[in-house]
Amino acid sequence: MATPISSTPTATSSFSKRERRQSMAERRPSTSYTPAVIPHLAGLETPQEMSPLKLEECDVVIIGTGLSQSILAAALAWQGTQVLHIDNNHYYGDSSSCLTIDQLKKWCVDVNQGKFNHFKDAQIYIPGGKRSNKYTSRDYGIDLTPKIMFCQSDLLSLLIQSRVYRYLEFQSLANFHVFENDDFKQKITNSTSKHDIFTDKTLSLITKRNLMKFLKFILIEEEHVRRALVKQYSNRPIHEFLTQEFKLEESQINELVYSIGLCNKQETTTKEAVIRIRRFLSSFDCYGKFPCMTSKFGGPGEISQGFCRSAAVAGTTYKLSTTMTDFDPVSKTAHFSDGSNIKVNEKIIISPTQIPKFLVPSYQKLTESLPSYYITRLITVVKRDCKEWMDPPQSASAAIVVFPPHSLPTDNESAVQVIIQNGDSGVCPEGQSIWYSHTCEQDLARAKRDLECAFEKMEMALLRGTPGTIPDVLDDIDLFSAGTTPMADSFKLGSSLANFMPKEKVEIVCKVGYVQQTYINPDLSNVFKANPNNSITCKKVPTGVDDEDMIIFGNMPSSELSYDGIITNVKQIYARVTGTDDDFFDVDFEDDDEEMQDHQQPQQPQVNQSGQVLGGIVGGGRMDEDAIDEDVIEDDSDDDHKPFGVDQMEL
Amino acid sequence: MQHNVKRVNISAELKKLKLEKDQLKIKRYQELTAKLFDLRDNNTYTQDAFNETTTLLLMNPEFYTVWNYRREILSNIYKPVGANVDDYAQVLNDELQLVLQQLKKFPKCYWIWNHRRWCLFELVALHRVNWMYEFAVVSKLLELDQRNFHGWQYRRFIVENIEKESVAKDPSHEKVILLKIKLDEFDYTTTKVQSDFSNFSAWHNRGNLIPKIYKLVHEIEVPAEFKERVKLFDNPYDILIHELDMIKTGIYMSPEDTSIWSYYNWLLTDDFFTKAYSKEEYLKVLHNQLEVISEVNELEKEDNGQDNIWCLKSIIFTKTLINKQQRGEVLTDEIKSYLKILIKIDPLRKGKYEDQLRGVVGIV
Repeated sequence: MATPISSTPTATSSFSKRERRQSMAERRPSTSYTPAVIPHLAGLETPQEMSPLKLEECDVVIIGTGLSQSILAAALAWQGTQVLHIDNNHYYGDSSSCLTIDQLKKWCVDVNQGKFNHFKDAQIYIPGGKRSNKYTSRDYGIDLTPKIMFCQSDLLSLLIQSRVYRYLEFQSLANFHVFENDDFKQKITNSTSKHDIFTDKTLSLITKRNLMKFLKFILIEEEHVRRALVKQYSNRPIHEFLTQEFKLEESQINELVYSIGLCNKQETTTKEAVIRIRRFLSSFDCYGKFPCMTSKFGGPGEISQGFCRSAAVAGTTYKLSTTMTDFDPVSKTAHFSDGSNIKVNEKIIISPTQIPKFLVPSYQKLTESLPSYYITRLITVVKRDCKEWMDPPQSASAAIVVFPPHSLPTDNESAVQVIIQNGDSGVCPEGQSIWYSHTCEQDLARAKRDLECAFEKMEMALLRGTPGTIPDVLDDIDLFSAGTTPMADSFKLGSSLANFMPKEKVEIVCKVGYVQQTYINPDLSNVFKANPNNSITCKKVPTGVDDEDMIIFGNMPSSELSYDGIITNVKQIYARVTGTDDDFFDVDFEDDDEEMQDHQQPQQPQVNQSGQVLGGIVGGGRMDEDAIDEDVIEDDSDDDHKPFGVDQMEL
Repeated sequence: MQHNVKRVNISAELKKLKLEKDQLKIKRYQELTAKLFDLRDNNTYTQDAFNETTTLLLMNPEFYTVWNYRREILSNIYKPVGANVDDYAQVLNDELQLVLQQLKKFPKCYWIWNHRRWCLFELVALHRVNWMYEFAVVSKLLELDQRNFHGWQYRRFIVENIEKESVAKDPSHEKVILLKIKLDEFDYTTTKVQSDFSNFSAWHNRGNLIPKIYKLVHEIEVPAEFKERVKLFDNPYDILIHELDMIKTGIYMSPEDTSIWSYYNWLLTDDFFTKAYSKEEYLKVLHNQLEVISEVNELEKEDNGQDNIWCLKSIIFTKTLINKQQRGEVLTDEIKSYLKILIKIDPLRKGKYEDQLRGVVGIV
């Protein structure tokens, strides 16, 4: 970013320390199934109620209100544990917060002052500042860790099981674009449904056959056959598997691996990629013709707020702007910044961004041996609704754009993944959109170049695709060389003119970049196969008292674009607290049956016989899900071969 | 939507729990049944009894006796004998609403569909029927499950009535009106098979429409606005080639899909096509098809190391048609050898192939 960067908010700005987005309780819900009463969340709707904690003791203290801590708080509270949930910020969400622009400005300053462990290199650029770039900070809800949700995923079933979904609103996400040969493919989900394969005129019959074979293999092949074939390739790149077994061509492979599978690297193993591709395909058609959803008004920030409210209903005590200042492992007394002292009976679970000072040395020691991974993010708010990428434009509010490895002029090694959400999703005003891009490239200079380059490509595509731009230029040229250039030639020149044009820019409201660090492997292997050697959440934190295992450090969010891995990770911590995860959210809401029927939406996702919800499992080599989404491919095993006209076929 | 849904087997313990939980419901159901049977035996036709049938039918829509009783009540207490037509029409429209709610839950229950038809005929008698509304309803239901054959049959029923109504309004343009409606229906089947060609009902409807449209096109002067759309229906040969080309994609994508083969068999044997062109043309088509299927079968062999059952069956079918045309021997050594392969690779239908091999059962 060579453009001016203001990393200090001007002293004169009207920024109020308490500025925040409207909470879900203050907002008017836009769907009918949202409950009339949304439970109060301490310190949010009524920030003045910030008196010292009046608890004498509690079972568990959770520090940080990020997504996984919030889910954990709700799970423990519903199980009967007395939880004290605090956050040292004056807002909810921690590293998965959803912030206004002014909050974000302050956040960037704090990051650069080292106030947020695991975040660094924050930059924020607001062209023209507040004067010429008129924006209302609170109209924006920018997720620090944006994510999308697959329709078959453990988080979605948990949202339904826990009823937290009723505080939230979801929107479908069906637009996946892949950047290839310096262009965006028009319609990208060509190879995901029988209909598209059947009607696509650009595919040869043989290609159609191969694609169909692959779809059947993924969705309806007997599990043991599928596993056996995948096993032969196991750790070899997915590319080899798709070429050798299914004779697929480059462009279909790119689509399957990077857009449908959302894989990051060319070397992604067959085992991992197949699970990822299956995740997409089995999610398709669960609730409609889309594989994913986004939550309205914000992603992980909204969902974590929902779980906090659920936890509050179950009796969790909340307090913001509070830190733990000390802990005495002998008397089990925790001291807090508001002066209160509380006895903690069981455990203290701490977000890695909010490690209390007295624990910093032990956190550093424990994480020393863990390989860490960087996620570089670039978030841009543009004054465009980006309908070009959304189909159908009237109702779609989000899209995914993927730049596969080596597709950018920077010869990117890692894919760049972008979530686009426009005003219809409630995260920014109408006519604007937020582009959340990120990469797992570990060379940070390179990562920034890749992200900038991807941004330029998207910007160019928007300008090129905008009606008005090229005709305007043509008019100019016609005027300039009147009488010499025939009109027909000008039209031919169209595409090259796009590069010739004076460089116009897509108008920007705000641009934010930062680097996030995590100990979770991008393939999520150390979540699904976590042990004390590879995962911070499994490590015992020495307290100085023998055999005392009271403190648990949490994980930073992973680089994964979906919510996969989060529930698994939370369950591990839950089991460490309670001894087992058997009763994880095993809540019996009394009015279950009737309620579910009254609220037709969302429906219960399909669950297989072992009770496990399908999809949502990536990288851990757990291929035990056997769901088939019946509607994608259907197979009539009717062997009646009489000619048509036989009426029993209709009766 | 309704297909390939596996039955969930619950454990004996869960079954027992459910049974215990449902005890109240079961008791109520049994009491209600007994009560309604009594009422019916005594020819009781009251609003109360009517309401009780609603309760019971919501619990069990398959209970046709209760549907019958319900209709008896409707006829006895609401049907106007010089009484208010509006009231009865309102009652019937309420019935349609109830039926629609039930159809969403039980889209394959014959008695609900049956009751809907009965209501419509009652409305016809009152001149209060709205066929276009029904058409919208069935279109919506087929969107939810495009392979529900009840829905397809109901759609044909509605379309037939729309045809009658439209023609009655403007009898002088009968055939143009019919042509337009049938062309729309034909296009509807196109969209449905494109979205999922594994759809017996859609192919069947298509097969029904083709000869009818063809007939109409050749009976009247087609208005200019339909010229483009009827091009396909110039002659049976063009239709045949067009349809074969359409299913060719399906054969490549999913040779084990029986709905396609069933349409294929119809295309190659129905008199509408076979009598419309010369023997030479027919043989040419058959040979072309044989080539396509053999190619797919070769691809399948390459991948799976053995013939594809459905391809092989269709090769036998097509070859037999050729042999018949040429008045040659039907059960040639070649066909016998194919049948022997089928006996091996498709053991479930072994008996049938053996019978065909012995000449006891014909192939076409």
